[in-house]
Amino acid sequence: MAIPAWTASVGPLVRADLRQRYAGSRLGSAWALIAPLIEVGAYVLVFGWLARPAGGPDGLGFAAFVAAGLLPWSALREALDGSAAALVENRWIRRSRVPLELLVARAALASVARGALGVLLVLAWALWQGAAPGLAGWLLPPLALCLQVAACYGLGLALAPLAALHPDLRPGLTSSLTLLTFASPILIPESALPGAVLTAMEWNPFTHLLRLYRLPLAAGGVGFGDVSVALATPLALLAAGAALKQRWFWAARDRL
Amino acid sequence: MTQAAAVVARDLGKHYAVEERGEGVWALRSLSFEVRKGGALAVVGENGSGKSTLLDLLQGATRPSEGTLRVEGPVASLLELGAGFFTELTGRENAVEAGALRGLSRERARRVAEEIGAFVELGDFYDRPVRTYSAGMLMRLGFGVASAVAAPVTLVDEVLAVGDGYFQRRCIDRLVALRAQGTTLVVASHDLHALRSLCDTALWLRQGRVHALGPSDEVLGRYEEHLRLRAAPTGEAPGRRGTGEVRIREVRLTDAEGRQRSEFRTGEMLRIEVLFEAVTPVESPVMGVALFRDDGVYCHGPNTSADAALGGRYEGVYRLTAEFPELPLLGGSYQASVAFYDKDHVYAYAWDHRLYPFRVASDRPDHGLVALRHRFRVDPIGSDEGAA
Repeated sequence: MAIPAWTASVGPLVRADLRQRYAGSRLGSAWALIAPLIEVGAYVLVFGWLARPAGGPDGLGFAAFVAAGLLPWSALREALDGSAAALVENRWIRRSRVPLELLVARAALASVARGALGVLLVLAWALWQGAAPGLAGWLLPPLALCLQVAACYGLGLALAPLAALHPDLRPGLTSSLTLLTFASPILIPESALPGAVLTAMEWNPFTHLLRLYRLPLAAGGVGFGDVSVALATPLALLAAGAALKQRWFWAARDRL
Repeated sequence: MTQAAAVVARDLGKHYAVEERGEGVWALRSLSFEVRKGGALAVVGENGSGKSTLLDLLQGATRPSEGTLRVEGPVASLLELGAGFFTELTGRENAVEAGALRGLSRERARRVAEEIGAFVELGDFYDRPVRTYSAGMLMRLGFGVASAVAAPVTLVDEVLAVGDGYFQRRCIDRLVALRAQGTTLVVASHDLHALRSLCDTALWLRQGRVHALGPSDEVLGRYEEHLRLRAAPTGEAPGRRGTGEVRIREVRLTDAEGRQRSEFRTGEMLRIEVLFEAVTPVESPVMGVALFRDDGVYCHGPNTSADAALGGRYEGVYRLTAEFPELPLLGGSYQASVAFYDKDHVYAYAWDHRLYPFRVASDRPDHGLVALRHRFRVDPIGSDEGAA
């Protein structure tokens, strides 16, 4: 199968997006590091000190735990928000031959920086603690990030036309993702959650990805089920996204 | 599809849903036409007539709701300012990505982007983000990108109107060159001069349906007449424009004795003397004058091309004289235009549009715009036939 011509344009567009994001600010690309760290710091303050759940790591260990979950999650939110906006905020696509896939891939990949920062922080923390992450510990967090990007791309292919057809989808998506922030073991260790809640969270594919991200922290193991769900989810979303995009795209384009 | 046709539409229709009202609108309906390979189709019609929808369909940006449409080969298009450009990329980067999206290798796309840079003449702006561009700069870049690589079919919407006269001329030259290479053109525009010279056939759309289809001279003439009847002459406001190769120094309206006047009588001579300078050498320019009633009704506009007169090379200062020996206009206020076009009558070197007012007084009791030569006759028919 031939690689579509648009794939060669994703890299330059993502680079330009990242370059543009902090253009004109005095600190420039340093904000790519500062902004997520402030976000992590805020949650660590609330959940690690003011409303600290029982169990789980303390101090900087808790910060690494939050960073390992929150930054990939922020990346996922950013990717889905960007995908949902891909058509409605680029109405010019109606009169151009730029494929929607390019815009969705750009949104999915532009979010990688934030997720990668989370992965790097966790690996750095593990090394600083003198823990040897092992081969799986080195490989699974980056793999999780790649799988997350693929899943976001697949889901984004469906979200982009759907958001054009149903304007309520975008605010609804934002609210749902905020809710899911607290309905996933991102800020609270699994050991602190009641069994019923934990069982419910097993249905959330991000729970399984989180275990892959946190493997270097030795904050619980990774099972075959986690890896299977992490692999199956993007495949299912890619197939479904491509099919739904085909189904909704033309109607959405006419609506722009 | 006819063997030599690049575009074939049969009973083409496009329906848009309007959810709020639970109904929809047909932007196009029952459209059937062909464009032969290497041909050029002008698409005209008033706003909302379906021109843009048709170009969107031809480009593949939207799908027909009914009927069939076949377009042979890849399509290059310039349909909307900024469409297809990523605002955070520079003009050059956009040109490279546009080439890559058309399937060029990155190396080839970079070379083409270099050529586009030379054509669009954006200077330093070519390496600045597109979000800093003016509408005219976007048009330049858009046209440069759309026309850089010859495609079997090229579509151009009204966007050319945004550019300055100089660049419009370059764009039209490039379209002429593309046509010479065998590219099929479909051009939607309100610039009837350009359409007449570029296109051999024309399609006039009204309320989404074919109102007229045929040779461009015939269809565009009818469309122009329609615009005149609507008292919306050609959309051109009075003013001075042109690309500058010719400069109009002075225009005088005189009588048969050469006396400058602002009022004439029906039946006497109106002479329009134009002192002009060909700033750069121009080959067989189309020189013309036109008379308008002050409400914009176009009365008459003779030119040297239509008269097959005064060809040749011009460089320096000349006086052009146009004479109307027996001015047929009836009483009223009028304005004269003077124009110098290129030999293909596509772009104006100099055009003073409705800048020279004059009045016509008439002793005649006739009604109307002009006094046409005429006669009356009464023939006796006989009482029986007369009664019938």
